[in-house]
Amino acid sequence: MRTLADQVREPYRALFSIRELEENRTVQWMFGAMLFFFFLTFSKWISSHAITLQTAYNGTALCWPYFQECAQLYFLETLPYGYSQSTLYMALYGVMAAIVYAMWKRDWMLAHALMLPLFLWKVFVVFVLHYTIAGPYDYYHLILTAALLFIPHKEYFLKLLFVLLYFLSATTKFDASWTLGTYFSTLQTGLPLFPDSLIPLFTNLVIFMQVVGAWFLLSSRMRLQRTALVFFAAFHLYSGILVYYHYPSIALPALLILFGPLYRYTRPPCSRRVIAGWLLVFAVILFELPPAFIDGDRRLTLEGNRFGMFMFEANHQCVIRTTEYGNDERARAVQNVTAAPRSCISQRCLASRRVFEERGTPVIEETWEIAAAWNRCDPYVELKRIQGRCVESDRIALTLDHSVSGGPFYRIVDVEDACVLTYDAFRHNDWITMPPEAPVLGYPLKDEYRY
Amino acid sequence: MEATTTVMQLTTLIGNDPANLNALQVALAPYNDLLVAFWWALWCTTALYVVVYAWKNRVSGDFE
Repeated sequence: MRTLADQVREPYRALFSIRELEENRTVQWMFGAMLFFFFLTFSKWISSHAITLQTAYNGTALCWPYFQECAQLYFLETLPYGYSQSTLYMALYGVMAAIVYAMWKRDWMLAHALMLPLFLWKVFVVFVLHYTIAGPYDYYHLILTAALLFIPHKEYFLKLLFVLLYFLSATTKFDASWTLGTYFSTLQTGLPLFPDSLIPLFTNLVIFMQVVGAWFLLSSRMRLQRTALVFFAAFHLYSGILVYYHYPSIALPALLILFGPLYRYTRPPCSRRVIAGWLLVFAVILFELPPAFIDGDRRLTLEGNRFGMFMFEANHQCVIRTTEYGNDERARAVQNVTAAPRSCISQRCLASRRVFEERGTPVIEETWEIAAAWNRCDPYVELKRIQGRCVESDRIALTLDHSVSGGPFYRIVDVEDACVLTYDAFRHNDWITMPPEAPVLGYPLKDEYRY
Repeated sequence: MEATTTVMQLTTLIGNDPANLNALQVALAPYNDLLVAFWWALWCTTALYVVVYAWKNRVSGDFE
């Protein structure tokens, strides 16, 4: 008599193409590489306050613009307030350890089943619970893991998607930041290891390789294929000087596994079973599109910028001024806490603070500066940060001056009351202005690069 | 932690001021729009080529 487990086993194996996991060494290695990146992700998130109840209570939750009430779903507490977040991540640690055991025992169905909750949790956090917790490397990870877990012809689609991600990433570089290389020439530290005079050559070479060279990774002509492999391996090692271990940790293992010693040329499959794979490819392309349909320069307004591959599109500097009226409690609290002389919280530096009274109303005037290329000065992020304090205040005036890759500081936000503003995720928001309406206020000093 | 620079200095024109670009950037700057158009054209051409190549080289059947 067949047990329930037996009855589930066969449909499960067929549905998720488990046979490919059992028989294909490339796919097996990729399984390990994706597991490794889950470990890296969760080791970062375990101590993060981003999605905790405390963050929700403080009004500082940063939800995606398409689901701005996400804090209602927060349920974890992290130290020093509680143990639930670290308990959850240690449970996930146990799952990861169990996956390693299943891989060692070559029980690929069990390993697959155990990876599903890791994947679902990460998708939930990245796309539902928090707007900025993930970077493009997390998109890489989720897309490749989706191919690994859910679709047939895993090896072919893993290779295709990996190359497609390079190809899509190139489109964010079609701008002076990369075509002239102002991203790097306006950094205090310039381009790592090479003279600044060569910057445009390097930046345009990277664009060329992402547009054309990446496809050679899929070539049947081994000389071309190996040349592309060496270039991208060197590129990821080099870019790690700027982005540290996280991005190379998703890109390099996948690159070496898919296109290294195990590489074999694979022709595009065509059958009913590939429909799921092509749907995933289509979804990845769709995910890249929202910024293209929003009016304005995404680098300046940041509208729609977190959809698709937005890595390293430009370097940013900004000055944010808030004038908060009628918040007695905060005015008392910060009255004696002056900017000293530039107090930085992470990449944000409090450049000045003034507390005074205007017709009997307490006013707190603060200027924050962000001089880190990586921080993107997103008006939506600043809006949400401010709106967390609206309940205690009469109103909060906001200006945001933004410079992209050493260009002029444009005053793209200048509003009397940020508390009444709303933000549309998929359309241009009128309260964010662009040149020529946005005035030029000055030019920046060379940017710091901090990661 | 203290930052070492001032972000904004209204009276100082640097950044992308031509005086601050290197020689190659100055030479390319007038043609930047052309360069951007070139990359978009190459990107679209590559996309088209890849689709046609994949279609011509497809193999029927469930396992390659």
